[in-house]
Parts: sequence; structure tokens; C-alpha cells
Amino acid sequence: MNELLKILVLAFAACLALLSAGVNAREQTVLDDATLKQFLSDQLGAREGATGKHANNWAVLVSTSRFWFNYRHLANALSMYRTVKRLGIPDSQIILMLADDVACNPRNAFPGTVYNNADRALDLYSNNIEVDYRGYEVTVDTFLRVLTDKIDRTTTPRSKRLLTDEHSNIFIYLTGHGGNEFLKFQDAEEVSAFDLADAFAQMWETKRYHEILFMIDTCQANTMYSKFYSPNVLAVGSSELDESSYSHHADSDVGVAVIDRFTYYNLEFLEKVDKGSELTMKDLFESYDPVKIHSHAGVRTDLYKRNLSDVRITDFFGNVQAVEIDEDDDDQ
Amino acid sequence: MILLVSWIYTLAVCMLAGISNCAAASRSTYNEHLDLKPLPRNNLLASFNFEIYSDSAAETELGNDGQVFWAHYGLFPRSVGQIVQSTRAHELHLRFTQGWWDAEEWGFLPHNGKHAGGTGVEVWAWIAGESDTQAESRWYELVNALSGLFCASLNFVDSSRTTPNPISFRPDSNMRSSFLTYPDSGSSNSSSSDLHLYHGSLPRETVCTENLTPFLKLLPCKGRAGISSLLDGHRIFDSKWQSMALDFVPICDSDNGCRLHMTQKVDVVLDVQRSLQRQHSPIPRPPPPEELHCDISKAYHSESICFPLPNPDVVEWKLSDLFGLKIKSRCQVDQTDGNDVSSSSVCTHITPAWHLTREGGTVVSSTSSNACFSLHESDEFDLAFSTSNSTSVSANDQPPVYIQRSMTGRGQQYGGIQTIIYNPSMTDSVSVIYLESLPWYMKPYIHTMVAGLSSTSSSSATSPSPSASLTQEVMKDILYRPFLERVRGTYLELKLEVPPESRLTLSYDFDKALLYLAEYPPDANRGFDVPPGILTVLTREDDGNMSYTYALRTSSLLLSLPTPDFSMPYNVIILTSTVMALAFGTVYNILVRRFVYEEDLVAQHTPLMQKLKPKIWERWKTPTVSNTGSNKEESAKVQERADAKDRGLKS
Repeated sequence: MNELLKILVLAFAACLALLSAGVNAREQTVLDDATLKQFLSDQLGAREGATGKHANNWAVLVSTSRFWFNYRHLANALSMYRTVKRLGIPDSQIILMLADDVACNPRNAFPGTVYNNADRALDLYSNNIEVDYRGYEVTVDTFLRVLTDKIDRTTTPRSKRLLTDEHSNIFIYLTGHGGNEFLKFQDAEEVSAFDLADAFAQMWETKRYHEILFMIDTCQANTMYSKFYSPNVLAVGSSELDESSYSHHADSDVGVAVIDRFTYYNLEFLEKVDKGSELTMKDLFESYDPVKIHSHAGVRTDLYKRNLSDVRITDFFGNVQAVEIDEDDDDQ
Repeated sequence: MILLVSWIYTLAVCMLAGISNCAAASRSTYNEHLDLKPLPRNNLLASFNFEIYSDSAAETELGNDGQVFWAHYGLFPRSVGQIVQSTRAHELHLRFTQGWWDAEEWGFLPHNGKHAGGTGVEVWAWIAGESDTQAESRWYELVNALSGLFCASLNFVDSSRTTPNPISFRPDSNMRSSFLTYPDSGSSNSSSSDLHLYHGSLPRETVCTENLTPFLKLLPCKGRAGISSLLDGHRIFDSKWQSMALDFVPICDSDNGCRLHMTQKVDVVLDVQRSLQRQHSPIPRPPPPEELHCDISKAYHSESICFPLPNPDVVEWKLSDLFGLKIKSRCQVDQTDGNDVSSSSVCTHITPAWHLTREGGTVVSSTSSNACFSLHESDEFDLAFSTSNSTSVSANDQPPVYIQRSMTGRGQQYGGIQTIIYNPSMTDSVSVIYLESLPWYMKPYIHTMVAGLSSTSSSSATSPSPSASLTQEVMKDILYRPFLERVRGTYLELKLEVPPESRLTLSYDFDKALLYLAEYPPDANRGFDVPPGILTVLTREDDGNMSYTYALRTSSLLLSLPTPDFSMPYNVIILTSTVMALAFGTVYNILVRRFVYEEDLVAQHTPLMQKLKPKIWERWKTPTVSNTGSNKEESAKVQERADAKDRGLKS
């Protein structure tokens, strides 16, 4: 009996020894987080033509929350929709994904209307709105497919596809409930920061963007962009790890909170921007005040090559093209 | 007269010369029309009608490439035309409806119910295809394309939500006579056997401004001018019942070839008091005391006590109050040669108790019950209605049949459906077709279907009782196709004949299914929507054929299925991982772990030199004794001690 046990133990020890030897052999090249990121960045950045020209602007605006009490998330997304439309991006270049319907919700005391302010001065659900994905269509799967265009091309209509190329600047705005490196979709599933980072990498590989402005307004939002590794991505989030993002105020007749703080202060700044504005991203980011926002908004610029003071707001939010007037009289 | 002669001349020239250009003799036209009809209890039925006819093209114009036919997208919207062409749809009908039509108060559905759908979104189309599979794949292409165009989740219409070939629908166009030939459809005379009818509905779908926006953009004036400018999402979706309909029907005849005809309709039942109140304040607030209308017949009525009447009899309102704006100008559409091919009119259906005041426009006809106006190019148009007796409304014909459907039973395993069809006519029996498409997770037992007939006439009062002869009289035919789990739902179509003044009660039982975890929607505890039942009334024509004269739908039902505890997958993973860890850990410990005394452990691990040192020291200190006896004793004692220790260890 003793002998049997001793043999078993010896065999087990032998296995362990082999394993540890194996592990030790690889110890020198273990991939930790930082090395991996560096490796992938180098690989992706090496693609030629990484600094192409900017020719058009697209926007992907997603509100991931369902239910009436998440009215403010839909108001956030609709406010951004109104802003980018006002600054010139046409509906054909906007993908608006709203996970629920609040405007025609039976609980809405103002049918067909969505407000983002208790003064009810501005109706976000005006008579000219096109929602591309609504209700149950807004899922993680659909969202990632829209970004990477891994969509059934025979059946999906063009208005539901993100038809960008390597000259497109994309403004991606996400809002909803989130946490440490995840964003919750419709209270049923989540997208992780890794998946999103991989989706952006795929987009870079398939030349689907020139630059991305990624803005996210959820709890612990800054963790969501911490895993990005593809170039030309400028990311801004509303709160740090272990910090919540808060709503700004509620409307007592609507009955729920109508806007989030981070989005509210962004809109306050963006209302000053018009189509010909020279205001830059640096101005926008400097306008963030943690005391007012009640959370620390973060900006990630290490993947973004340009200087923020050279990047205009309209480079992402608007659709202004740089026009050169040819003064030459000769026929070229 | 001159016009007629010139037209005949043109036609003669065309026929002689065979020039296909002459086919453009049938011009594209645009008509818009608004019907206003006050309903009981201060409601208003507003029916917006928009019709677009495309240029016609003679059949001979069709080349190898079907593109030639559809090239005339002047007025007719290209977006719809291209979708319909690429999916070979010969007729398309699309409905967006919300609310409930109160048939007892309001009577006939507008347009005899042909342009009203059931709650949510409903779509049906006749699709040309050589085989079922080909037609079905074209159907899915069609609904996907429509989902992009109308911002609705029509892409969810899959095989489980599609009903193929129900008999409740008949095409509006005469499909047998000449038809749109498509490049790959073999013969030039496509018979109706090549056409497949598909019907899909999404009862859960919301209808909101994002559906109205593309709907209006299909019109020539894009909702900016003319009657369509009154269509504002804030008012339309604040109504008791609203229905938006789009019908695409090609009209073909041997003389003029084919013209594409698209009809868009918006029917709204507005609560007048509510809409007027929105003008004053966006939130419903109680009116001040002086504006209260009190019921003076109450015993306790006094200066300080008032039982308010919700519906005042004396009302005065304007169209611009209800819809929020006046019609600024007419939607005028001129062709390239300057001819105006549009027409625009507003008609009201009232009683002599109502008084109309017009602002702008011209009177076309005016009787005591019907007044029509046409709009001017640049004038604003507004219409003011006033009456001292708002209960006086134009007579509403009683609809031929009433229907009501509800769910019975309790619990999460079984349920039942009960449908009551009531024929109010005193003399005629009514023939109906009742279509029900149930989702696959509702599993009906058709053998439990019970039909009970009870007479509602005052002379006899019999209770519903099933009988064989009854079944023969009433149930003329049953078309039934059972469900296939996760593939298709139940298709049930009943041909019924309800005798005059009687109520037919149909009921059957069903089982509720358990779904896979991934099949539950994110708000699973709300329940699942069951599409409305569609009732079509048939009338026998003089030539003996049955024609479909009226259509109505029941309300949709909310089915509560047993929902699982969605936290269970997490719980199960945690629990099994814990159990496995405990089991493995215990077994591993039993096999491998060994208890040792601390001294032995220390002795084991002491280096050799340290062990030898005390021995050497002993040897050096105590010289060896030659006396074997004493040595033996000593060594025996040592051995004893050693043995005792060993035993101690072993035990």
C-alpha cells in the first residue's frame, strides 16, 4: 500500500516537474498586457498610408438602455444626433441605434417628443428623424457587425450599414449603463472593452476609418477605452474606474431624469459651435470641470497622432469639407 | 368635346405610327384629399389620402432589361419602385397602426377597413417566383429593404412570423390581364400561379415619428406643402387610433399598358378636447372653475359642487388648433410642359348642426351634410368648425360584423382563446373568413375548438351550445396548418357564416411553450404579443362571385410565457465550480497529503554533518566498553526506546 502511494506520488511529482520545466522555458517571452499592446500597435501602425486624407464624416450614435427610466440615455443619444445633424452630417451618414422607444411610449406625457432639458425648449424628436436600428435590433452582435461591416450584404439595406472608407472620420458615441471594461446592452448582455478594441482593430485593418472620436457616457467609462490598440483613435470617457456618472436633472412632468451630466456639459460647449467654427478639441476637453460633472472625465490621446489644438470640433461633429479655390486662370 | 377629339386623334396617330413615346399620353398625376368627419363624443376622424400615378408605358416598351419600363420615376418615388422591382413584387401593402377602433361608437372603419392594419406593423405582398423557395427568399429581401426605408424592424419578419398564401387577401389589380414582365420570368403572360402571397406582422412594433418621416418623404412635396403639411408626429401619435397605409398596385390594361399606382393614407381619430388643450398647455391640467361644464341633472349640483361633463356640447375649433398649423399652400406639381397634374381637396362630412367657416380655398360643393373645398396655390387654408350640439354627427352605418378576442385561463402552462363574432343585422347572415396566425410558442389544440351560437334577438334567449348541425351551418371550412417549433407558427383560417342577430363564440385551448434562454427578449417579463386576428366579410355579388367588402382586425393579445430566472446560468456555474473544487480538493488531499511529526521532519532535513556530530562527540567522550553484557543491556535499552518511538510513530 505504501509502495503504491509512493509510486503515485512520484508520478505526480514527475508531471509537475515537466510542466514547470515547460513553463520555465517560456518564461522569458510571456506576453503581459503592455507588451501585447505594443506589439499589436506596431503591427497595425506599420500599414502604409496610415495618414490618409479626410474626406467625409460619419456618426454612430448608440443608446443601449431599455425601459422608461432610462429616458436620459435616449435623450443623450438624440441630443448628439441633433448636434451632428445641425453641423451638417446627413442622415445617410448617421447610424442611430435606440434600444427603446420613449417618444411614443404610453408613459410619455408629451407624445412624439423627447426633451433633454426641463425647460422643454427643444424637442429632440422633431419631424425629421430617422432611426436605423431600434428596439430589439440593438444588440452587441448588431453593433459590432455595423462597425466591422460583417453584415449580410444581400439583405441589409444601405441605410443600415456603415459605409465608411479610409478617408472617413467616425464619431462613435455610446451611452447607457456600464462598468469596469464593459457596457450593458438592453439589460441582457454586455460588450467588453476587449471586443470593442478588436472591432476597431478590424476596422483599421479593413481600412474603414481615417480617425475615430470615441465618446462614452456611462459609469466607469474610462475603462472602456483602456484596451484600444489601433491607431488614430481619440477617446474620451465620462468617469474613471470606480466612479459613477450621474444624471444632471429631472423633469417633474416627464417624471424621469432627462440628461446626463457629462453629455449636458458637452452640449453646452457644442452649442457654441457652428459650421464654420474654429474651436478645437483641446477647447472642448479643457472645458470639462470635474466639480460640475461630478466625475473625472478622461481623454486618451496616445493612439492619436495629431495635436489636439489642431483638431477642429467640426472635423468629427460636422461635415465641413476644406475647399480650395483655384485662382489660376489657366486651364489645367 | 375638342379635348376628346384631340385625344382620339393622338391615340390614332400612336396606333398607326407605333411610336412608344405616345404611351406617355397617360400622364403621371398626383391627387391629395383630406376627409374630415366628426365622430360621437367630440372625436374627429381625419383621413389623409395621397395618390400618385406614374407615367404609363406600353408593354412593347419592355426590352430584355426590365429597367426600361420603370424608368419614369418623375413623380413616383424611385425608392419604392426599385425595391419592388428588384424583389419582383407585383403588389405591396404596408400598414402601421396603433390604438383601438371603437366600432360601436364610430361604425365603419375608413375605406371599409381595406387600408387599416392591426396593431403594430403589417405587410403583405404578391411576389413572382418560379418556386416557393425563390419567392420566399425574395420576400425576405423585400421586408429587409422596407425596414431600411421605413425605419421599422421589418427585418424581424422571418419564417416564424410569415403566413404564406392566406385566402383572406385578394389582389387589388387584375393580375391575369397582361402583366409586368420581368427579364427572367420566361413567358410574357405570367399567370397568377407564379405569384405567391406572403403576409407578415409585427404586433410589438412601435409606430413613431421615424416611420412618419420617410412616409412623407415619398410624397412630391415631402410633407412641406399641401395637406401633408398638417401631418405632425406630435398630433398624430397623440390620437386614439391612427393608421398609416401604403399600397403599391400596378394598373394594367390593354390600351394604356401599365401604370404604377401608389396610395398613401393616414387615418387618425383625434380627441378634439385633448388636442385643443395641447395648444394651451402641453401638459393636461384641470380647467379653471369658470370653464367647467357641470352636469346640472345631478342632485348635489350647486355653486360649489360640480360634476364635470367631459364632453361639452357647444364646441368651436379650427383645423389649425387641432393640427397646430394652417395649410400654407397647395402642393402643386407641374410637368415639364407646364401642365399642372396635381389636385388637392378637403371635404367634410357633417350634419346641419355644424357650421363651417373657411379661410382661403374655394368651395367646390356644399350640401347640408357634405362640403368640399379645393386649395389655392398660395393662400393659407383653414377651416373652423362650430356647433351647439356636438353629439349630432353624420350617421354611421353599422358595420356588418363585430369581433372581439380575448385570452382565457390562468397559469403558465395552459391558456385559451375566445373569439366572439357578432352579426347585428336582423335579416342577413354574414359570411366571413377569420384568419389567425399564432406564434409557434402558442400550441393550440384544434380538437378543443368549440363553437357556440346564441341569438341576441329579444324573442329568443338561448345559451350557446355546440351541436353537429350547428357546426355544419356555421363552420363552412377550416384551413389549418399546424406549427413547427421554431420554424413557423400555426395557420388557422375559418370560413364562417353567422346567422342574423346572433353571436358566435369560438374558443379553443392552447399550451404555452418553454423557450431557450437566448430566445427571450430583453424585457421578457412583459410578455409576448400575439398578432391580431383578421376578419374579412364576403358579399355575394349578382354574378354569383364572392367579393371581399369589409375587413377588420381584433386587438393583439399579450401572452405571458413562463420566464426563467435569468440569473440561474451564473448561479449554476458558481455552484458547480464550487462543488468540483471541493470534490477535487478533498480527493487530492486524501491521496497525496501525509502527516509527519515535527521532530522527524526536522531530523529528515538536518544536514548529514549535523547528524553525525553528536554521534562522533558521544563516541569521543564515552570510550567503548569491552564488557559486552553491559553493552548489550545498554544497547537493549536503547533499542527498547527506539522501538517505543517507532510504535508511537506508527500509531
